[in-house]
Amino acid sequence: MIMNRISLFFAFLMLTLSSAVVCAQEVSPVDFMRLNPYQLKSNPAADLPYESVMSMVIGNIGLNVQTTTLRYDNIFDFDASGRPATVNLKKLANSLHDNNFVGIDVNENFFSLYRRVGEGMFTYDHNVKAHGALKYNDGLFQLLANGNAAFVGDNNPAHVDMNLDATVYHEFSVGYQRKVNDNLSVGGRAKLLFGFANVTTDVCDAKLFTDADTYALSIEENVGARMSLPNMVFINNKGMLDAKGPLSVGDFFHNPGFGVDFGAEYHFNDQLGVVAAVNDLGFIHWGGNDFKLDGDIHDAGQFYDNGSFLYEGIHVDQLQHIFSDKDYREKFFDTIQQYFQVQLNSMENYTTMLNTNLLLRGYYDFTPQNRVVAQAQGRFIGNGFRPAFTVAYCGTFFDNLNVCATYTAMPHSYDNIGLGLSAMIETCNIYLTTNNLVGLFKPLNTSAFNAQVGVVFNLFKEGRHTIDESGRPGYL
Amino acid sequence: MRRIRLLFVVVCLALLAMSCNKKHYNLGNVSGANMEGEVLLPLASGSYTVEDLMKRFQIDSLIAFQPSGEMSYNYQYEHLKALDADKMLHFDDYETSYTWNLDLSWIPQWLLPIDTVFHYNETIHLETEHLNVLYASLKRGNITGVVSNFDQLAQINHLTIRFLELKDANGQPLEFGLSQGSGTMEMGVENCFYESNEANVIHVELDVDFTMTEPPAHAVDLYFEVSLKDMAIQEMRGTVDNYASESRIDTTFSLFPDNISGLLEINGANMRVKERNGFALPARLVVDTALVSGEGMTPFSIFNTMPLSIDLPFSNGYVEVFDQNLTGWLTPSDNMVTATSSFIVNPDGVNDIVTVYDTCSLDVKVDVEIPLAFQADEIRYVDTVEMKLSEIEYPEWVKSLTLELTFVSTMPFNFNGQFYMYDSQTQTVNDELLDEPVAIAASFDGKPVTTTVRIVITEERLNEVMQSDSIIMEYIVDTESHDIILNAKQSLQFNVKARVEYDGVVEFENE
Repeated sequence: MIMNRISLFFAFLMLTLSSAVVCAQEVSPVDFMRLNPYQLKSNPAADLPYESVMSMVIGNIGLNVQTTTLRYDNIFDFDASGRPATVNLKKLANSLHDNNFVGIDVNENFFSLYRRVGEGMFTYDHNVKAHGALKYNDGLFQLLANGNAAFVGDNNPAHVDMNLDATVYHEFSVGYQRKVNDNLSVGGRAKLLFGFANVTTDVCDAKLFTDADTYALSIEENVGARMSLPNMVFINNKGMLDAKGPLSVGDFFHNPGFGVDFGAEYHFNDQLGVVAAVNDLGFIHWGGNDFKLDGDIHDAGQFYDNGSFLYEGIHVDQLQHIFSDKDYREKFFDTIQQYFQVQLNSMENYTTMLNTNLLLRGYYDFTPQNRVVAQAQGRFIGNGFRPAFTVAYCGTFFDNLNVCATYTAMPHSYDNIGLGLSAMIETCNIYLTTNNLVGLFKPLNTSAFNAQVGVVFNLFKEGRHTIDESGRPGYL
Repeated sequence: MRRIRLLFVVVCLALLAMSCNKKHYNLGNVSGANMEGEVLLPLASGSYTVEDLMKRFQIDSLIAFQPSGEMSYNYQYEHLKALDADKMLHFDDYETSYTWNLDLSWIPQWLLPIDTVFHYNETIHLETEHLNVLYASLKRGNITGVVSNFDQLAQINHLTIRFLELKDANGQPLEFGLSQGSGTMEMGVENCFYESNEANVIHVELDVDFTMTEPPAHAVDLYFEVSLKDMAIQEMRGTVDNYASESRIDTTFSLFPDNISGLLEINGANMRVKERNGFALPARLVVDTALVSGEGMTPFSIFNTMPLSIDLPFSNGYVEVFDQNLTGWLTPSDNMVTATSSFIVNPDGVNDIVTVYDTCSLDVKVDVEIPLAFQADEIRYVDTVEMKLSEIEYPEWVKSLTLELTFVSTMPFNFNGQFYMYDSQTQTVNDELLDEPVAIAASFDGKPVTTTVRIVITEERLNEVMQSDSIIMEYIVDTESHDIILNAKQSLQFNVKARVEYDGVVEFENE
């Protein structure tokens, strides 16, 4: 039961800090900033006020924390000087809900080149994306914090349920945005994808039943996961995952996939408009080193009961052996572990869908420089759907400065007040945003935290058009 | 310039946003996890029937189990060859010698030479133990004859010694022949037989054929010696005198292992005696004393009337000759039985001629059946179970351990148990698990009786308990005032479950 500090650290990282991402798919003030070329990411039909745009590497750098319930301050007891002293499992467990979520999204934009062609704009992007989502209930923490005495009876098991969906892939996209008529603009991107790694749990579920009368313990376990990794992996003789050989360049281009983004923006008049978009509609076919991880209760002897691990106590003679014979004791506990083994086997190719994002946005321009926006966005994550509702104000000042304030409500996350600033300095558009202003000061104690910075170059300054009196780029 | 100021403000805001209290996020001081809760765990269970206990005590081989579960303790005493014909059927070793002084110097020369035969007769009375043998086939034995000085008398032509009642397989008397006047003759008598009209008598004839050419100068002492040794009889016909063999029995038997003490009042015990008498003669067993003694009890006689006489008639197979119910007290272990007795063949001195073989014997089997039906009072059973708890690492944050024991008994005993946690290194009892002895209730009507016991071990006591390497379990067993009957199917089922309360910091391992 002695936990390892490093393990704790990594567990914490997994649940919180590892979800620090450059976030493209969660709501960000960038989506609403009318001078920021990357608004095109969420709205492929957006009109950009530029003739051409280019960015390399530093175009989009950011940090995102997405955790619905887990809070740093709820994990620890702090000493008098404010330093974390011990992990308080009970406080942690009580802070969690039945359903908890940690989201992971990385979108590192290596290169972008947008160039206006005729009435529209041609776009090219090269991104590396990683996204992950861990859904978990509070069962494990409640069990650790309270013991199984809190879970007694057939209808009250300690239930540990987790679901992990993580993917890393390359994306090469080619898109085109154009104005169809005075009211309607459309845009779309076709994306060639190369998956790098994927882990998808089909099920990760365990239940511990404690009989009220006999205290008999019954464990039901079902773990099933598919994974595709760039290297051949195997379970070594220590029972740990191990991998063979170094990576090669070719490993980055296995597992082809295809995806599309498309959207439309309609202006009812000079003030009112709507945007509808679908992003990341596509799939990746994993055909490299694919494995299936299965874990269920093995029939390893006396404690196996019809697919479950059933411990009703042992015979008193056996107990005496355990207490008096060290070798017997070690062998006994080794045997216990055999009930919970997992198997890693090669498997046929499989396909995963991208986490498709649906967006519906309405906006109203009080003046050409002041816009309010209401947006409903939803994202498919595995078998789930995660909605977000955002209201935003976005103003343009001095013809160079964007200020955008947002409020976003998501399940179990209702305190997301965001702020974005964007400025044009010579040919550069420099921006800094967050979707949770409070989170800047307590980044590990908020449900969602996002900070993005980037520098985008307007290649042809003379080609930039200011927003005219109608509130739209003048050349349009 | 305004743009640069603006950028400066933005950068400052960003730095402010990203700055934070470093102490607050410094995990280097985290020493462990604070846990508080309760774990419920089934520990152990067991079920012991009375039959299991008998096996555990390694006395099941002494118990007769009936399909219905009824049990009785069977004590068997077998006295084979209490009288053994092989030891009876023999002639005692016999040895005698004769000397004759013969003076033939007076014979005148003119009568010589003389060819003549001297003839000597002697009678041997063989001795036996209580046998009057008229006929016997011999399976072993040696006859030795020694003569000397006959050749000083004259020229010996031939010397013959003849045993008239000892005959070879053809019915001819056994004889030795010697062509000299001095010498030793020896003969085995196996496969020969003895036949006489007069019991235990052998007539010996000595014939000396000689030629005298000159008179001897003086008188000569003629010497003749005969011995019969190791004369064993295979079959004998004759009469057997009254013959007694005394016997003493000192034996100890235990109903239960040594670590059980107390007294059991036994009712309905039964003793049966079987005998096999191959002597073709009546016999008798006379028991002079038969006492039972044990620790904490006054010795008592097994039988009310002493001496006890049991006739043992002729029988080729075992026949029961005695059957009597007994009552008394026994201790669970180390009951001492002391008995003195005599086995008598032909106790009434009948003179019938009988045939006895060397394979005949008088064998006796005594079966004592003690039904396990008794009253028990203050029976004490102590068992020591090795449990090296000091080798077990247990978390310091365990605040209390509550053991919940449930017993379901159909055994007709009250068990009053106490458990002592013992450290054999220091030879000290570290802890008495129970504040007062646990009382596991008996079932006197056969219906299961449930007893639950809670043992709460606090944090302070737990440390003492975990220093132990064995548990001494002491049970005081009683049947109240009930006459109980043990049944192999009576059982004691129990299970132990634990409730572990913990509260503390689980220290992280230091890398």
